[in-house]
Amino acid sequence: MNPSRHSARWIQVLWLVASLILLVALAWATNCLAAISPKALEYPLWAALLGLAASGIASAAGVKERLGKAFRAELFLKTGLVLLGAAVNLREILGIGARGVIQALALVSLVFAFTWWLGGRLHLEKKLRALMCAAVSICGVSAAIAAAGAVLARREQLAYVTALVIVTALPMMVLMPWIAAATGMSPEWAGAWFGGNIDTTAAVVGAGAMYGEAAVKVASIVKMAQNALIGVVAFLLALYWVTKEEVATVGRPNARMIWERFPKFVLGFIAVSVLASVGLFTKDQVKDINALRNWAFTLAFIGIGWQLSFGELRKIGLRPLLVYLAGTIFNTLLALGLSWALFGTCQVR
Amino acid sequence: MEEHLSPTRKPFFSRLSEDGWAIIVGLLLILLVVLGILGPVPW
Repeated sequence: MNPSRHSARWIQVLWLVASLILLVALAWATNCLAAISPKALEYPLWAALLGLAASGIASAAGVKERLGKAFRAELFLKTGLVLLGAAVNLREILGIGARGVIQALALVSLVFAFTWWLGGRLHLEKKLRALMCAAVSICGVSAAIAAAGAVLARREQLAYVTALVIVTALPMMVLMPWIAAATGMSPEWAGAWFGGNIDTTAAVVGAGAMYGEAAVKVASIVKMAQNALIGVVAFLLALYWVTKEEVATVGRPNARMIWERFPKFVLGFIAVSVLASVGLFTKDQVKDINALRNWAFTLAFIGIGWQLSFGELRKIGLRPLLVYLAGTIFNTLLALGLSWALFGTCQVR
Repeated sequence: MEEHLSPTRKPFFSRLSEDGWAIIVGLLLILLVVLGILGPVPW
């Protein structure tokens, strides 16, 4: 191997090690801060704030990209959700999931339609509209990425929408559990509301974790039911673009796209739940798996704080921001009513 | 000759998606707990 390439590889490895050390230190600090702070300041909030602070310092020092290699929010979140399966009985998944699918179908179609219509009225570019509609109606960043692939959106449009998703999701992660507690919502109703409304899955889990164990279960399952629709929406968007917009630039969509975009980690979550339902784990083992899940979620929330970029947001302009916020408010109110109708009397152990 | 050669396939772990990694890491952690290698986990 060329000596200069060899040393470049070693430098990359050293940055990765430094990144891992920083991530673990932040997770440890989160755990300590959450243990000594009042109940309202739960670990998801501390994790996101520490991630944000570390990101700001790393940006100022010009090392954010190199130091961010281990901050894989999505990977840690999905691992945490697979581990969550050990705490949820299969019967609960089926019960909550069936209601979750009904809620998801209604929310995704109505919120998508409303945001698309409003974006049209405010003359937003169609590709940006498609990304924003997918993000606000399904599951934030992952849906925006799927939609960007379907309509061949520009990289900067995806960056705008990603910034918007995280900037709106973080305050909602804090505000929604607070509103739910102030109005005395049941954990099941609140969980379904968080899952149906907050765009990014990490913030849904964070809000649920702040409201308690039953809320985090319902919120996660409802969100996963919504996530499962990514493939269908990406397929329909690609079909629309092929037939109505730019036949030459988009490949012919097919049903395989639905499976390709399906979030496969959901299958891991269900598999672990099946193992738990047949009594494979003892009570102490479930306790340990739950602790590991909390660590995985902590790493994910730190990653979310790290990813936030105000610079991208400044480039967006007022009209897209208005459309996204209006879509979010519409989603919030609709999800509040739907979650009450579907989960108001539901009980999770 | 070259057209008879099959294209080089990437190793299994390089082809694995993020979802695949999440499932493997999750199941591995659970296995370590079940075998008694990992635990008690503090939180």
